[in-house]
Amino acid sequence: MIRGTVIGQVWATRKARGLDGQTLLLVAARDAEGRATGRLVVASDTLDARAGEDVTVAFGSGARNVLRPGPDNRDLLCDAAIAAIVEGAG
Amino acid sequence: MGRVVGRLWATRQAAGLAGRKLLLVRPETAAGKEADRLVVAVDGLAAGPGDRVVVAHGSRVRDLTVGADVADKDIVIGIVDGHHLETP
Amino acid sequence: MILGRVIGEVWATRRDTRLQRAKLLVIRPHAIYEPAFATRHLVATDDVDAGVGDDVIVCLGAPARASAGSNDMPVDAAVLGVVDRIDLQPDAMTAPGAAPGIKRAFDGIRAARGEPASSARRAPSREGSGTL
Repeated sequence: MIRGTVIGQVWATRKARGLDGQTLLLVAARDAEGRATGRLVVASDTLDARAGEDVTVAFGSGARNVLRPGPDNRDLLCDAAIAAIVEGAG
Repeated sequence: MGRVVGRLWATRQAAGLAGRKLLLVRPETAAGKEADRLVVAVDGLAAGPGDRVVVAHGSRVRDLTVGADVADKDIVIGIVDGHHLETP
Repeated sequence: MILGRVIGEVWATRRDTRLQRAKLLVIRPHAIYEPAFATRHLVATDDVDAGVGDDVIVCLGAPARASAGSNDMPVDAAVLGVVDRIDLQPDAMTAPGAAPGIKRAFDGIRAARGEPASSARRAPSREGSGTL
């Protein structure tokens, strides 16, 4: 997973059916020093994250496990999802 | 390989992370030079800040170690006591 | 998923037979994309009839294969949506040391959409009444 900051949201009317119902947030990835790497991820959000919040983003099957845990989730159209909203680090 | 530089706390998180310890790992080159990247890895070995660890990436390793439900594909699979590099 | 801009289309008569009917678009990712695309583009199948100049949402990996019909499809990227609106909040990146990379990314997206460079603005609600 990576760490990042929620910086926005994306809306799309014309989209594949598998994206229906997914809230898509924009997350800016951060490096070990907290700097933005410049990488932007469009991540599904199930945790009601808000702009400015410090989050972790899971990818691939990790992301699908956020939406629906377990091995039978390969039909989910998601490759990145917010997995945790960080309260503290140390 | 990387160095544990901290851990994260989160109450609001996916069910697929429930009860899992999340460590912040800064990857290192084999020569010990630290990268700027940061990886958030699931820990099952009680690693702590300052430990050098081996982090594996991928759904296969994840399934084999912490289980297929976990929402993270970066897993701490070892805590390094020492390593040896042979340079040609 | 990543955000990108459709910059072209690829035609190929000789292609893997499983890709017979797929439309192939050339996408320039917004912001820096990892793994590093030194060529700053990727080719994705198109599920939503996107056109050159559209901002799109592209997914990678298994979902791309799923959207193409099955896990056996030789596809690693698929355009899943055409973006209507992007809500960017530059002020959200105020954490220490945060700025330079993300300002470049913001300005890149705004420039591609023909909008002025980032400036401070009030954060709109999540349900979104503010526009860029």
